Amino acid sequence: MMTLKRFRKLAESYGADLLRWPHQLRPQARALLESSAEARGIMARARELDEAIEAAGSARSENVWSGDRPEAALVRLRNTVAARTGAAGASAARTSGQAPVRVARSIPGRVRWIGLATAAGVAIVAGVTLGIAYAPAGTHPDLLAALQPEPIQLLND
Amino acid sequence: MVREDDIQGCDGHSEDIVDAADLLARSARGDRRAFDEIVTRYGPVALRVAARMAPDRQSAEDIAQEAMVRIWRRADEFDGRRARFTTWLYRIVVNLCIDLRRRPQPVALPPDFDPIDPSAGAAENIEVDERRAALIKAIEELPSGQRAALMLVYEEGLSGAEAAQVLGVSTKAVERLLARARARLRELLAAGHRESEVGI
Repeated sequence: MMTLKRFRKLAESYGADLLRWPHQLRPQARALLESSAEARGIMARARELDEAIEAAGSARSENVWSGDRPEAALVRLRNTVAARTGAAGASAARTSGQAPVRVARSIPGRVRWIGLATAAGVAIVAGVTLGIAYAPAGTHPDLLAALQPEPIQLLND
Repeated sequence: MVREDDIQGCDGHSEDIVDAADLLARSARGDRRAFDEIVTRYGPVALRVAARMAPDRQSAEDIAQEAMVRIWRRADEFDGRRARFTTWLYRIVVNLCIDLRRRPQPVALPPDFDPIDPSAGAAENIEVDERRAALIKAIEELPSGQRAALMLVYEEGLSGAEAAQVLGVSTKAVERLLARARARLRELLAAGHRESEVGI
C-alpha cells in the first residue's frame, strides 16, 4: 500500500497524469486515489500546474516557429547537413584515415624524440659524406674559409 | 543497462527502432542514403527537442544540424544492443542545448521595449498572456538539468527511467530535478495569483 507521503512525493515529480508515473506504482496510486480525498486534492493541485506547464510549452513552440513551416526547417536541415557531411567522409572513412595517427600516438613520447634525433643525425652525416666524396675539382682547400660569408660592403660606399 | 527491447519506445514503434539501428550501421559504413533517411526521419525530432530548450529558432536549427553531423561522424560508436537510437539522439541534442546555455548570451531587451497594447484584447486575456509569458520565462531560466528533465518528461513524454538514460543520471535524480522545477514554477504561479488578487 502506498503511503500518502510517497504519493505526494511522486505527484510533486510526475504531476497529475498517472501515465507519467513509474509503471509499477500506478495501480497503488490509483487505489489510493479511490480511497483518499487528500490524495485527490494533491492531484487536483498538481493538475493545475501541469496545465500551466503544457500551455507555456505550446505557446513557446508557437513563438519559436511562428511564420515558418516545420517542413521548411527540415529542408534547411537536410541541405546544411548534406553540405557539411558530403566532403567530410563517413565514420568508416574517418577511422581508416586516422589509423596512422593512432599508431604514431601509441609510441611513447621519449622514444619518438630519440628516433627523430637519430634520423636527423644520420641525414647530416650522409650529407657531409656525399659532399666530400662528390666535391668538384678545384674546391678551396680550406673548407672552413670557403664557408665564411663575404663581408658586407655597405658602409664603404 | 536497460536493453532497447525492454523499454516502450517514446514513438511506440519497435520496428522503427530496429530500422534506426540498421540505418546507423549502414551510415557507419559510409552509406549516404541510409544517413539521409536518418536525417529525414529523425530531423524533426532533433528540431523539436532543440526548439524546446534553445533560446530561438536559429539556435534550434544550428543545434539540430550539429547533432546530425555528430551522428554521421560517430555512427560507428552507437551500440544498438545497449541503447535506443532516440535516447542517443536526445542525449546529443540536450547536451548541445546545455552547452549553448553555458555560453554568455546577448543582453535581453528591457521588458518595456515592446509593451502589450491594451486595446488588443480584454484585460483578462492580457493577464493570462502575461502570466503565461512569466511562466515561459521561468521555465527558460530553470537550471539546465531541471529544464532538460521537465522537457523530456512533460513535453516529450519520456518516462522517468528514459529521461534518466538520456541525462546519464538515476531515476531518483530525475524525480528530484522534476520536483525542484515544479516547486519553483508553483511558487511563481502562486505569486502571480497573489498579485492579481491585490490588484498589482
